[in-house]
Amino acid sequence: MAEATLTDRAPAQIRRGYWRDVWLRLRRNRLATAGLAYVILLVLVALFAPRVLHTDPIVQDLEASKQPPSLQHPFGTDLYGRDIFARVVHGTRIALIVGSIATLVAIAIGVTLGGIAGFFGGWIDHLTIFFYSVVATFPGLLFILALTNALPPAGEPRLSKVYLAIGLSSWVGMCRLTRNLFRSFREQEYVLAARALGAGPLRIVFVHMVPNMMGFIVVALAGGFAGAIAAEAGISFLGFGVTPPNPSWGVMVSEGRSYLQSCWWMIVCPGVATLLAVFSFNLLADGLRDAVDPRHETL
Amino acid sequence: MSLPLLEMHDIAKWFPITSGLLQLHTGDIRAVDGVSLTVHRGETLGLVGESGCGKSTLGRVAVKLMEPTRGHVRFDGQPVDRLKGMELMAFRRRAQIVFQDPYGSLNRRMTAGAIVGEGLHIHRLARRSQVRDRAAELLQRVGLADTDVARYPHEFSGGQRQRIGIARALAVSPELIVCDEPVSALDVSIQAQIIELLRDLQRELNLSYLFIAHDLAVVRHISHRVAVMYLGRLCEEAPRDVLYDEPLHPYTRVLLAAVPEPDPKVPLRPQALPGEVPSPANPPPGCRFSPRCPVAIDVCRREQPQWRELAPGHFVACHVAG
Repeated sequence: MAEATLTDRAPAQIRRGYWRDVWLRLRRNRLATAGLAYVILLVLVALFAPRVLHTDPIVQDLEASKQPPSLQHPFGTDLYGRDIFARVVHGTRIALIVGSIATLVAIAIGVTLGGIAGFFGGWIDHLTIFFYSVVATFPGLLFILALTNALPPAGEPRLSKVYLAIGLSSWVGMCRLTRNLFRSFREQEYVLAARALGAGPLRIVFVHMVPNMMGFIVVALAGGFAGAIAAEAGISFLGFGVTPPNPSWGVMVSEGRSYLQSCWWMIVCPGVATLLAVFSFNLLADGLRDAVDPRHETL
Repeated sequence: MSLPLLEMHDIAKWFPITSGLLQLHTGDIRAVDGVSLTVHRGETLGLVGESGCGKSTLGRVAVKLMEPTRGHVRFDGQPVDRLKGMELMAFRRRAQIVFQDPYGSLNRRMTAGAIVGEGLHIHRLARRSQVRDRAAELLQRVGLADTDVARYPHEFSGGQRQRIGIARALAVSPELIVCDEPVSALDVSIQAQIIELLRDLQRELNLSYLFIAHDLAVVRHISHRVAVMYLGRLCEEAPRDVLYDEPLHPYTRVLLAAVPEPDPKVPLRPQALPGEVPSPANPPPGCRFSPRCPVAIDVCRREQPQWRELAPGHFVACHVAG
């Protein structure tokens, strides 16, 4: 048997899996790592801070109204004397819940529909493209507002409808992505090789196509999170989202709007919180995109 | 001669071109347009042509990864077009394919063992507990180490990956392997190793190959017969030495002139062809090679040349030759 020559050696002798590879490439990207670190911080804050922090975000203390940042109130207080730091911290939880539920809804609809369209092709594909192209023409914010009003009332007033509405309005990107991934993966040589071996459609989809798509879907997920957080803040700002006593960042910015001249902290603190959250999710998504698909990295 | 293993008769594969909102059918890419060829048991048919001439499409039709628009494929005397269920699975076991791209042809999420073992799994050729051992044996057979079963594709070099692709095809004990440019992406020194491996396997297992390549030099060492393709049609087909020594079709001659001699004393004399390959959506009338042919006469631009046997086993489609 012909022995492998010196030139025919494997480039690396390290044994590692796909996700470990993605992680190593992601870690090389400083901005993305910073984004990931902040995202992890947000998750920890959302999970534990409300229990550790004893300041109530809703109880009013009118004597402490509109106080600037101090040791006692690091982010100052709002019109009703509520501690803005506590409200921003509790708002993190709302932002992340909106992000999770909206992205899950978008993934459930988008990936299923896109997968079916991309895998079967033909008229099913044409119909799906037509359908999502129509949905894509609706102006985003108006569509969410319309949905919020149209959906039947749910347990917690409005809030859960907002999650759903954001999800229902943002599945188009996910659907298009999945559809295109299925279309292009169908022609990949390893998929053709599996077909030539006699692999059935289930094996082809779940052994060969989906595992190779997960990276792209995770990227879309991170991006979707950013979009959902921004959308929730926008809707709450307009007064259609989270109902006021609850500490949503959008609501807080909206309340602070009238005091921009005198009490800057009322709008800057929740505003910066929103900005950083959206920014870090976007950084993470961009970093993941390069880490998942190194061949498409900008050279 | 006995019944051929693979018989392709008058195969055409057209891809529709659609345009506009209503996806109206406005034409066809005639990737393959009336090609007949046969591959016998234990034999290698080299299929040569430049990029885009339809040779890969033909290879995919041969293993039923694509259905031909016209014509039919017979495998071991049986028509392949309507195979379903068990019969299709039996055909899948007997006819395999090895691809060009050593990166794209392996699922990077699977270990070499899983890739090679997949065919065993699908066709229940080994018990679950034995798949790994059998895969290790196959990897050794193609010149890799049995411990490579646990490694992922990116841990291998291009040549090693191509060996994994060959092992995957071998796993189901096929009789025919379509080799779709299996060495075109590799360094010259590694090309020779892979071709040597394929020849060893052929001798040992009596395999038949349809060996697709874009240059005549690669095909020479492995083929028994060679067919030359241009723009969806065959130009010439002959036993290997006949084709290299006495090429009849002007296109074959040009291709041969482009093969560099491994002798520094022989001066390079590449003959550049005028013009470009015409679009397969709008092929020229008459002989497809006529617009670029150095010896074309009037009839070449009007009539399609017949597929003529000018010497035993030496076929050519040319008005001028012979």
